[in-house]
Amino acid sequence: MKLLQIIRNSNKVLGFNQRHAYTDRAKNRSEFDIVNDKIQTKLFLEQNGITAFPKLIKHIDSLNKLNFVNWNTLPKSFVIKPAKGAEGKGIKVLYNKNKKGEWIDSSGSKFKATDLKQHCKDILQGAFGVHSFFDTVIFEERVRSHPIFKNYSFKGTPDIRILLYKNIPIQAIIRFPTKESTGKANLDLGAVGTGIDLATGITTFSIKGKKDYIEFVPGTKLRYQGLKIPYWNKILSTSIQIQQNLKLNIAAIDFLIDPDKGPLVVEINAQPGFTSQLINKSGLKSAIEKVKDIKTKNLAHTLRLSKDLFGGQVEEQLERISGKEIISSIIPVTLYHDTKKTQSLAIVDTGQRTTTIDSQIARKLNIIDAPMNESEYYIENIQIKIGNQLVDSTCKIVKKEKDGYRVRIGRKDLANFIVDIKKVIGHKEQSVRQELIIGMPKTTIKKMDSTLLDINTELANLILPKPLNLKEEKEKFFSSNFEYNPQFTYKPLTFNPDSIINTLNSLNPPDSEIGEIYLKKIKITKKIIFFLESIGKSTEMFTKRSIDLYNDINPYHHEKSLQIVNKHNETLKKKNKTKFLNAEEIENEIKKVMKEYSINYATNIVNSNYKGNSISINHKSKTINIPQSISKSESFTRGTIAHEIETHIIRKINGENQKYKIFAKGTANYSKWEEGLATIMKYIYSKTKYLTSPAIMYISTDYAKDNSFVQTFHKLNELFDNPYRNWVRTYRVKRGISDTSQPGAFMKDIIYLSYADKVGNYILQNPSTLDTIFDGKATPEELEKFTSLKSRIQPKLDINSVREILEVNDLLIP
Amino acid sequence: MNILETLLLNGISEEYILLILSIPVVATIINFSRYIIGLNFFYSYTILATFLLFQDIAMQAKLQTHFFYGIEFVLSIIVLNYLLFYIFQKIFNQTYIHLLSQRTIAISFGILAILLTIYFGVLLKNPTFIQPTPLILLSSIMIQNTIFNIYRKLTFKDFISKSLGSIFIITSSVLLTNSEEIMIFALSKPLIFILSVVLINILIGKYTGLRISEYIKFYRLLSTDETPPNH
Repeated sequence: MKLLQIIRNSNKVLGFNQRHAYTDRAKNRSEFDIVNDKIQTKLFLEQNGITAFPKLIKHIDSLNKLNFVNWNTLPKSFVIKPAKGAEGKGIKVLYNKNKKGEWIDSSGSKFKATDLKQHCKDILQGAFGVHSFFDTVIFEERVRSHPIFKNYSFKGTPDIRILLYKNIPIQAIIRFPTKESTGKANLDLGAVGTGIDLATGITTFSIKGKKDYIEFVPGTKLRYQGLKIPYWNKILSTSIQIQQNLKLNIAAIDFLIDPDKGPLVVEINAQPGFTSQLINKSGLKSAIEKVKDIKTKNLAHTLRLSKDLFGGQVEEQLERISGKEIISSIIPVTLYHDTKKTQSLAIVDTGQRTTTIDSQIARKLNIIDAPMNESEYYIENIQIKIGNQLVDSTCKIVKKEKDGYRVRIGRKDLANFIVDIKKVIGHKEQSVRQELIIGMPKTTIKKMDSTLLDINTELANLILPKPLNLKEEKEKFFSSNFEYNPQFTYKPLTFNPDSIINTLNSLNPPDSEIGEIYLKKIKITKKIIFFLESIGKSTEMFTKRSIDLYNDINPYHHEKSLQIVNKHNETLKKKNKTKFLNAEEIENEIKKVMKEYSINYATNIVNSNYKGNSISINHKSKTINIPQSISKSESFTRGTIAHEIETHIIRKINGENQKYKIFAKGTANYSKWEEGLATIMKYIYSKTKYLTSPAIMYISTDYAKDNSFVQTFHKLNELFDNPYRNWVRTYRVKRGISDTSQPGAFMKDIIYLSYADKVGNYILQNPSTLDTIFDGKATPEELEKFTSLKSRIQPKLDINSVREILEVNDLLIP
Repeated sequence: MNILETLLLNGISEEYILLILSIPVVATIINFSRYIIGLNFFYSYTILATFLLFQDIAMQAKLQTHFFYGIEFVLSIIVLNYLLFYIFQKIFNQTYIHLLSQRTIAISFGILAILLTIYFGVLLKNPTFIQPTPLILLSSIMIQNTIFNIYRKLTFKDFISKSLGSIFIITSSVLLTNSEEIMIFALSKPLIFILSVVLINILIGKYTGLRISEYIKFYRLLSTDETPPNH
């Protein structure tokens, strides 16, 4: 059987014989020439716009030139390597120079200039070249180790290898130098190779040398697993970019991470070894089979594809490390007693010791046959299947669980599990939940309104991430000539997410149409919590959770945005005379409109300490803040009033008069629809009907999603020559991210255009919605269905104006 | 009358014809060792030269024990050359010497190694001691040249692995070419014999499965169904 399994599995593993068939040196001669010569590699990278590689100090291609090297001009720390070397042979990494003028390597050996000269002679004579008799000596800058690796590697710098088939990353490892490998990241010498989960950039399995699995850094209790590799997306993107230009069938691209410069490409290998399979416990052949017929569209698509196909080892790894299975806090279980079995949805409760089951479950298991007289008693010999494990349990039978869950799993039965409160239960479990949750008592609408109001009030101010060091990073960015990627820091969460999730889990909306609205709100609130948790954490995770909240870029709106911006730029050439209003004049305009609608919000002109140049509303104190230094055109001011007062404030006031309070605080998707409506309202009063600002925000978000801060900024600069505005635009879509050198975006800014389109077309197709669309903070459909208002504040919204905006922006759906 | 009979009738000895026919067999074993077994070894021509050295020893000594003597001889040359290179590399590190000069010095050291090998044979009163022929000398020089080439490029571990791999191939080659059945078949049907060898090599050339060494290396991966998600 074992033999059969080995033969079967051999189809998944890539060996050298198959490698030769894939690499086909004869057909890819020119590509091999590039990668087999490190100088050619550097030239190739430079030609293809990749400048992230260690700086070449000098190169020597003859003995004659070697005689003229002034060794005293060389830095204290540098690397000597053969241009055509392989497997790390002939490389000397020199870390420092002592007072005697000798260079010192990672093993502590000292080298005089004459020693290095001799080494260079060996290189020149082809001593380390695989296929060459003559070679070139490269003097290269030494890449310092990133501080994150300090405790993992001995002296040397760990290197990261990305294996790609065509241009799709299929496997990744990091090699940590050890004492045995004398500070070299060479597995043959005893370095440690650790697998990397492609989706997250987190380390997984480790191997020492080329055979022994290892868990801890030697001599410590520090695990190799679980380390997040910095600049992960950038590493993957660069490797994809290289292969898009190089077009080798199989390539391994090696990176070193410099603490200042980030990932640097050190080598490209056209004939890599395959120990990475052992390290990642995964065959490359099966990975290649998955992607061999896939044609990728662009870098972002390739990146996503690679992550989706080959990521996701981390959770499983956590289970392996701990030997425990990860389960969610609410989980379907099967209970067995004698010959009877029953299924139920259980809640995991680490606060209680013993598992409890209610009398109904006990009856199904034939433990009792009549309603219970005693309040509770214990029963042995119950087996519970939790996750993939069967647990022998002694349960306490209770008359009825308070929260409707008929099984409550206690600590005693959780010894082999890790409870992940955020683990999403699968589709299958969801349906079981839907079936089983019926028994859970329904929460009253009143209770849900108050609970959700409390939670959302707590979260509302946090949804727009604001870095603590914004001012400092902005200064650094401008003083670096726009080449610095800000590293933002954020305030830790001020609430306990687990406790809020538990509260949300305890809510069970009624099975009615209004109940559905609350159920959606509960789900979106969970998404908001997950989003808030990701602020300043993994860029990739942040972007994903941001997409969960605000949707992803779609090519249609991207195309429309570009068209709008181009048309607008043309109209800019025709300059119109515009009257600008100061703070007092704007305040008067606001007061005039508020009087018209009988709105009692206070206006407040705030002094110069107030940062910003836009009007803001504080709903809690019912105040409209106007910066003292503000200066806006008449039409812009009127548009802003329509946006802020006639949409946001009026919908809020109307919502407060609704029967269900959720319409005042906002239903699940209210914010997207409301911003779309507010955008339409604003542009009705605008002189130009082009949705320029929403279009720019859309484009900025798209750029930011696939680019770093600096790249996004420069791309915007190509479109709009205004660095200060472009800083704001870039900042808006990068807020929430800590390391902005990585691609990723805060997606909120796409909703202004996409939902202006949605709302506008919805109004045209359903004109009657205009009667209720301002009735509260909800989607138009929800308002049409549930509004309870007899009288309302009704702003003016003319259907023809909506049509005009859509037509001008080519967004009208025929 | 076929080519073989013509050669035999004209005084070419059967031994030499067999020696010629055994070369493709050795080359096939080298091929098999690389792509099916996955062995590491010295350059193919060095192996062939070493094999010829064995056969020459056998012909000179007319002894059935030539195999052991051959092994002893080759091992002595490998070990002694390695030691000598280790010493003279230390000297070369002190001062620059042209590559060709280094090679010439290496050959001289290599000859010293051969002399020492014969000397030890005399001291040990080895009954199989023979006079080294030009072929033996040439083969020995090829071996030591190989060691010279790989000395700086390989670790000691690699060197040992290559040496053992080479000895395995030579041993297999000597045993296989001494098999009466194979050699009778080769002599009686030389064309079919060569075509069979070619066919075997085509099959080996088309084999893209795992090598035996890879089965050992990846044993833990192959013998388990434990595969990370999404793979």
